[in-house]
Amino acid sequence: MPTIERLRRLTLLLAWLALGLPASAVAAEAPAGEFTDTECVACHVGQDAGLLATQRDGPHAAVGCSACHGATHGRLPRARDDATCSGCHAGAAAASHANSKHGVLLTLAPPDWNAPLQRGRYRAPGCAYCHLHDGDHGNRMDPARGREQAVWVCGGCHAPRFATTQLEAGARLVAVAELKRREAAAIAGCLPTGDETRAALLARVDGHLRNVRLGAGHQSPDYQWWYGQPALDGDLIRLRDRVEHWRRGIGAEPGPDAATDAMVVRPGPDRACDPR
Amino acid sequence: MRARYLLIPVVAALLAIPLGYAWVDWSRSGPGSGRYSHAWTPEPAQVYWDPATFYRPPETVAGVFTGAQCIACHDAATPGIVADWRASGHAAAADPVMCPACHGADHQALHLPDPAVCGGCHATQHGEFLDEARYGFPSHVLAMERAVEAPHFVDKPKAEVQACVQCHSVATKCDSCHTRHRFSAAEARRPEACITCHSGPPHPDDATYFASAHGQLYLAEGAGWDWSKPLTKGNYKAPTCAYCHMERGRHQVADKALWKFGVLEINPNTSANRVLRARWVELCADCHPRAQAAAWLGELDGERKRAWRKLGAAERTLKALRGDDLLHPGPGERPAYPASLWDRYFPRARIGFYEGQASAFYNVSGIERDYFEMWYFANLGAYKAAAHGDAAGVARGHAALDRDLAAITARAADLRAVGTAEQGAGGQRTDPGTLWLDGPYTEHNRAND
Repeated sequence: MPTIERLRRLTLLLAWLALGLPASAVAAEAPAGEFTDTECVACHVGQDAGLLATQRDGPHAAVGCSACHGATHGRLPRARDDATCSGCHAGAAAASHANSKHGVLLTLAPPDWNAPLQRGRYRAPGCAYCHLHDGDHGNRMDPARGREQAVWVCGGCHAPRFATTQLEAGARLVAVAELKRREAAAIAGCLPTGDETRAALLARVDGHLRNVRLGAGHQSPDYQWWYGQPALDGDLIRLRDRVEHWRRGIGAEPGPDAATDAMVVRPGPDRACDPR
Repeated sequence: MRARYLLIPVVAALLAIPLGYAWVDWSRSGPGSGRYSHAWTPEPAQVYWDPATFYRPPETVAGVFTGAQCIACHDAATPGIVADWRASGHAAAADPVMCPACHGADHQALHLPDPAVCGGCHATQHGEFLDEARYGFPSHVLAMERAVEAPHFVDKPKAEVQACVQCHSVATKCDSCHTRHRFSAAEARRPEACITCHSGPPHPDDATYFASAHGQLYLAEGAGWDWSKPLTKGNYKAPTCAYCHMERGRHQVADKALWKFGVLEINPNTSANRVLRARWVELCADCHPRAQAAAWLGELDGERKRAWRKLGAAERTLKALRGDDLLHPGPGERPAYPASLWDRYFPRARIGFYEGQASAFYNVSGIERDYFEMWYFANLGAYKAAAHGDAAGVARGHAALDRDLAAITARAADLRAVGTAEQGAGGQRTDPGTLWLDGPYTEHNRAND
């Protein structure tokens, strides 16, 4: 090869190195600046079509990208962090996880949220590790997706038999709580239509049923039990007690006259009722 | 002649003793565990909470493996636990403790390690853990036994009471506190290691400790402390759960239990309790003057006295209602007290700790449930707050006790007025019919007895 040709190739290589490499690197790097949710989708629909599809069909369809990721690039760790989720999912949802063994391990040794949400990358699962596993922007733990999906996620640390057994036990625990809700609805059917406490009593039942679900999903004994099952038992007693109130005139009727009314014996509505 | 009469009690005793042993033996031989083992069959998940009793190995993979071979597969199969083990003291040891040491090497004969397996190496801690049994309940080592022998555990659907054994498995596994597969002592020394179980209305240990001066100091600075240090004087700026309750790292929490969790009234001044009190003072003296520590314990005595005065008043009110047959529904008008054949034929409302109040939180009348909540939630909340130094919690707990006592007193007066009026009118109680006996859950529970 003539020297001149060698020089020409070297110059081209140097020019490519000088211009091309940085240019291509810049092209691969996320652009700086703030973006609206529409702009996020406009770019990412080409790059992450699958991810966007799961987001669109999932429970967060109405939540914009920036709600979790912020409006600038480079904030994946923020989106993975439990603190971001609990900004909206506060109360029982966050507390039931925080008190579980998984939640405690995350508190004691905060993980590196830079790690992708994949098997083996976290000592204990945070919200996103399970629900957005592997970047799935739907709800990976949605029972409608089938138990195999959840077993796969749990399977990063737990044997499939263990995960399956625990998930089935959780489903049965919730089924028992649902029986209690049916019983509550049946007892409420014995109350006269005008009863003022009925709605509040049934709302408590729904709240405690939700606690059982959260307790089962998040492996929190407290939410399965103290805020769940025995609380539901108490709800059933309060509802039945309310029926007795109408039948026998026991207890004060809620309202401004409650204090003076307490001792008055009222005849209850004479209706036979079968709580079944 | 006289010898023959003497022979009768001797023979009877000789027969009764082995028969008694045989009966106890039989009662524990059912598909469940504990004294009522014939009355229940465990949920499949229970094998993991009490592995020594229930676990059966999987039949999926056959073969005998070395530790390195286990890891070669499980690095892909369950990478999380392998990563965890690599970061553990077991992996860092000069002679690493590998999978087969605890699980066995034959994949079709695997076992989940129970405390005895861990005790194979950690004999001191295991010995202390077992020794706790002599202090009675509440204690860690007796927790599972107590759970499965609770009448409501035996009675309720096993799917429901799976919630119980998760925490009560502290008696049957070591990883409740030293989570697998890192088994870190440093982790177990931190208060959060306890709160998955020590939380909720009857034992708000988490809330009351974190609200105390000790807990506030921990929350502010604890993340920076060196948790590899043993739980001895001078190593920690503030005490944690384990610092006080597992003094010097001793693996028993019950050996200084003076007020017994607040579930029953005790005399704090028996000679035995004076010994325990002196031990507490000695422990507090790691940081505080002895006289000050003794005064704080005296405050706790005072708090208990006030609480039991209120509880006693409520309990007497309830027992008076029971005596005059004014509880509605009466004991015969609702499902019988769980696991009691006697109560099925001679129903009786159970009121108070010694009558089995702990299982009388469902299938009871409203006022009995009110008392259960007063005793188990308001009372224990106040006790935990007093014991952990959470003054606001004590005030809240006693406000709740006052509120509950007032409500119980008012409701009792109401029950008495209505009941007396009914008796006066025609001598007839209102028949609650099937109101307390029917319903999808109540019937499901009855059908699965």
